[in-house]
This record gives sequence, C-alpha cells and structure tokens, in this order.
Amino acid sequence: MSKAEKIKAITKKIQSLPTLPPVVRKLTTMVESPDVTAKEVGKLISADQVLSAKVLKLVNSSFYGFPGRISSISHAVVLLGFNVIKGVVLSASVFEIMEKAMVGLWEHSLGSAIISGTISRELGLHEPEEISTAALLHDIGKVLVRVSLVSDYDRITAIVEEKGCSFRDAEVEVLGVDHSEIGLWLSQEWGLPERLIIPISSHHEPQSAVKLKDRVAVVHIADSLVRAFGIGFGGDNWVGRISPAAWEYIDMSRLDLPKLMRKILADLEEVENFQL
Amino acid sequence: MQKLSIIQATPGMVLAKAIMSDKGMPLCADGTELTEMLIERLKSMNILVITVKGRPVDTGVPDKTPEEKVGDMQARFARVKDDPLMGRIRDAIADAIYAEAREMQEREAEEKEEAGG
Repeated sequence: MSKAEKIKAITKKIQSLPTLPPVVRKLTTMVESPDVTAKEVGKLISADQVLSAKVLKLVNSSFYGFPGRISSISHAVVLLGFNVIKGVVLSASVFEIMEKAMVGLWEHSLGSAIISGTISRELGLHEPEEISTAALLHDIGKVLVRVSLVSDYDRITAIVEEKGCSFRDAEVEVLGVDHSEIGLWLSQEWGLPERLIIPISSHHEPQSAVKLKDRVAVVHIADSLVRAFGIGFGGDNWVGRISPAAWEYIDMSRLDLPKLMRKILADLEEVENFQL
Repeated sequence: MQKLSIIQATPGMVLAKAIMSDKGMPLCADGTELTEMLIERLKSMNILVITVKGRPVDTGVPDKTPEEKVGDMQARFARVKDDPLMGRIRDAIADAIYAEAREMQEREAEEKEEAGG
C-alpha cells in the first residue's frame, strides 16, 4: 500500500473528525477575500466572547512578544495580521479539544511554540509569531489519533511502553504512517495555509521540505529542545536527533548556545502555569 | 526563596526577585509585599510566575537538586548520546541548569544576610 492509500484507509476508519467551530470556517473565507477589513475580522471574533478571551490571552502571552499590551480584538488583528490571527483562533479551538484529553501534549506544543518564538527572534527571522503558531500546531496529527482513532492510540501507547521506542515508530507500526502525515491530511482538510501545513508535515524530516525551509527547521529544532528541557509529554520520553542540515540551514551556529539555553530555560517557566 | 505560580500567591508574601515585563521593564521591585490588589494587577498583566522570599507554600515533594535535574535531562538524551551536535546541546542545557541554581543560591544567601542584619 502506498502512503496515500494508507492515509485513505485511516480516514475511512475515522467516524468523526474533530470539528472546528463555525467561526474558524467563516474566518478562513473572510481572510481570503482581498477587500476584508481588520474591523470586520475583529467583529466576527468578538461575537464569540469565550473565543475572544482566549485569543486575547494567547496574543498577550510571551509567545507573541506583546505581553499585556493588547486589550482589544481589533487591536490584535491590526498588530498581528490576518494570518497570525487565523492561526491563533485555530490554536485556541484545537486546544480546546486537546487540553482536556492530553495535557502533556498541550504543554509540549506550548513549549515548542515558545522555543520557536525565541529562536526566530534571536535569528531575526520574518514573522516569528507565525512560526510560533506553526509550532503550536505541529502535532495536530497526534490529536486526531487520540480523538478519532482511540483503539489505535491505545495500541501505540502500549507499544511505546513495552519497547521503549519513540511514539512515531509505534505509530508507523500500528498505522503505517506517522502523525506528520496524518497532520498533513488534517490540515489540508481544514484548509490551513501552506505556511502552517509545511512545518506540520515536515517537522520530522526537515530535508523533505521544498519551501519554507527556515520555518520547518525552527519547528524541528524546537520539537527536540522542548523534550530536552523535559517540558510536557510528546508521547515518549526521548529527545529526537536534530538534523545538522536543518541546524546549519538557519545558521544556528552564530547564536551563543549556552546563552540561548539559559534564555529558553527562563522562558519555559511559563508553560506549566499557562492555561487558556 | 520559592518560585510560585501567580495562582498560589497570597497577600503578605514578599518578592525575592523583581518582576520584569517581557521588554525588560521593571514592574515591581524585590522586597515588595504582595497585596490583594497587586496580585490582581499582576494577573491582569499576564504575569504567571513570581519568586518570593522563604518557602511559604508546602509543595509536599522536595525540590530536585540541580544534579538530579541534569541527570534526568541527560537520561532523555539516551537515544542520541553519540551525536556531536546533540552532545553540545546537552552540555549547554546542563550549564543553564547549574547557572540558574547558582543564581538562586546567591539570592538566598543575600536573603539570609538581610534577615540576619
């Protein structure tokens, strides 16, 4: 069976896809229209009070680098831009599904987002906010397995425990594909932009990305570092090998490594205490 | 000295470390005594973690020593222990953990000195 056929077989088993709230779909169509205004986008999000509160909490956290300064949704839209806001709304929605079922994965994702933001800013990459959002969503494939393929998920965790292997190896053993491939399918199904899809689908094999290689490299590195710092639970206890090619691609060597690790250690303090 | 989540903060606790905004602006000096109002203000500013004097909250489990933390961290590298890049990262994180512990110790020593004098 080819990869595509395996994915198809898996999606047939899925009874219900985690659904996104209608506001996310509306937002997606809205931000694609060329003459939409920030006011209109702000109005749509503000109509949902719970969502608005979560969006404000996320944009004011250290991931986006404007702590405590954004007090209104319309201000957030103007400051962060449509794409980032869409990602933030999406993250807030996805993690509603995730927060209850998988606290460890939520912390893993949050930690990856913080590290991605720090690295992107230290390197002076463009749109660090969007890179953080991609990191926040990089494991959505695991969420789908947990929520929609429960018995497979149980088998995967049993294999991890029994063999001490990585979660990803166990996924391949049970499903024939891993969460990055499932994440690719899900993010296409949800109509996410390429800037989020590519880091989601390539975070384990950064060399496979043909575009947005810098973003993929950052998320790949952050995924490994958050494990190294022992934050959250990504499905197993192991630090994954960082691709030296990805490390070199974004020229990580020009950063002072001990200084960077001290900064990350301090930044990560917030993770355990952050709730949406 | 104890690091606490803002949720655990209660009036009367004294800051052992200044609270800074993300931009490095001091929001609250060390030595400030927390009040109900100040705690609410910090919450509204999305401050999540504070460091207070003494050990006002009993966590039930003893804190890990830096050596234990480094040991745990190194164990997580078991599958990549022969990789040169991963080795450099592991050593840099160990340095960061020890540096943080040293900073904590220095502050605690200062705290004791103040209490004594």
